Amino acid sequence: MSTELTEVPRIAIPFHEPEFLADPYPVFDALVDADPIHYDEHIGQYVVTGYLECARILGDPITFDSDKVLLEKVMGGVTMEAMDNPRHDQVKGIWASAFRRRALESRGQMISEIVARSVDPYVERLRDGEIADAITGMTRAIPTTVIATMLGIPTEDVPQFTAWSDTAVNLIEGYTDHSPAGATKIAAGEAATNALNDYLRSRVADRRAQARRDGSDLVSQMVHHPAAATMTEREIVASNAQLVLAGNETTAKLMSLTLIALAMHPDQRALLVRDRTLIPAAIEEVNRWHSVINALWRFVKPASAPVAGVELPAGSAIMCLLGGANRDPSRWTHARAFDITRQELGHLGFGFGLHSCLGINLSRLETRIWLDRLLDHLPEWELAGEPVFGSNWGMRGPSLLPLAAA
Amino acid sequence: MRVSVRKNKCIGSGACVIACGSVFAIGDDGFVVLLDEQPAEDLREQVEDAADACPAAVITTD
Repeated sequence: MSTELTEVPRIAIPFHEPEFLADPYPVFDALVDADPIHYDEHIGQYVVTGYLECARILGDPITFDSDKVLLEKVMGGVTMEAMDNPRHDQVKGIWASAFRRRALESRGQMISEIVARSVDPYVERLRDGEIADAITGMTRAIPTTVIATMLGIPTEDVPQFTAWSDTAVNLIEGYTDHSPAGATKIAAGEAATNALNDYLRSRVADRRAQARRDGSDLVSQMVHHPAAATMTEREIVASNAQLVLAGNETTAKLMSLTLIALAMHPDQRALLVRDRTLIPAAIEEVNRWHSVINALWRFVKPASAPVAGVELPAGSAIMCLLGGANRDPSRWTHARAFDITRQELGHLGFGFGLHSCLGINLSRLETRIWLDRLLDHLPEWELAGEPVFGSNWGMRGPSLLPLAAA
Repeated sequence: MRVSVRKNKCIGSGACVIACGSVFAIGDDGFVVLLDEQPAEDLREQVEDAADACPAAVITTD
């Protein structure tokens, strides 16, 4: 049974309301429960809410296109996320083996050292009775330092990396912030991406000049890979920028959301302290229950296509509402509850399909090592005030998270 | 050799198809399809490569 376009329920998601930004899940859950597809007139996008339909859309890059224009702006060039096959597999393939589960295990020692340098001083401050922001104090630097190390970039440049990255990803807010303030964010984001790309351009040239064909850093791996001959300089540089942008704020936010979820569920945190084998499942459950990436966008390619029982015209903009779909009651029992012991089912938090996250297992490895060390040294903590969530609901995490030892 | 997949963990990356397109495919719903539960032994290397490449650890072999 199909629905007419005119019958698709109209909605207006309150993207700028403080209540929504503090907790978007009541809105998301209501949309999931109401209909498989809605039309948000204010932004001109169809909002798809079901897990299976979001997976199907993301799994069909032939019918549903990425936002190549925006991605090129965010990254500073065309990267794998904006490519179709066969080119996509060729480019993603350059780094794919470095990001495999087993290959990443050799990075464990490096990650553990970085984690210890971030966790230990912060824990000491809390144990001394201080109230301190977990983000600037502990989590923010970890993923950036890890990826900078993997790119072979000096650690003294990490703070600059972090600043560029934080500003550049705000470009994504442009999807739902059509105001002058949104335009300012977009302009700042573009400037940050340009600065990051300029920096990486010199690193790429440096790696190429050194002819370090044995270079284990990711920049060398790409520059000296046969497939790099098919890439422009801008694409190579932007690909490296993508690693910085895609892989660091996201993982830092996953860590922050984990801090909040476990503070809100101390019994489950205690269970984790006693049984660390549950850590991987716990991290997946955080990303399912309160996803970092709450939405991904796709466009219906030239030819109309059926979506959730509605024939959408060519060019229609679709928001796959991952934050809602990850709590879809047709897939998960007690879907809105946080439960680290639930039967694990794949979720959409790392995307789905061709463009699913390249760094998925690096993100998991960093977060596992970090959580394990934190639980060793600070098994209990409290929120010492309301976490502050900025306006970026699409890639969501607190910008301020004051904690105290419990 | 025997191969099995846990479809409920699959995120549809397609890494398995790249590694061994004669045994794995992506279905219309976006999830992995096992084309052959008992592939020939000479495919072992490719199938194990697929299992290693899968970001969601969906594939098991024996």
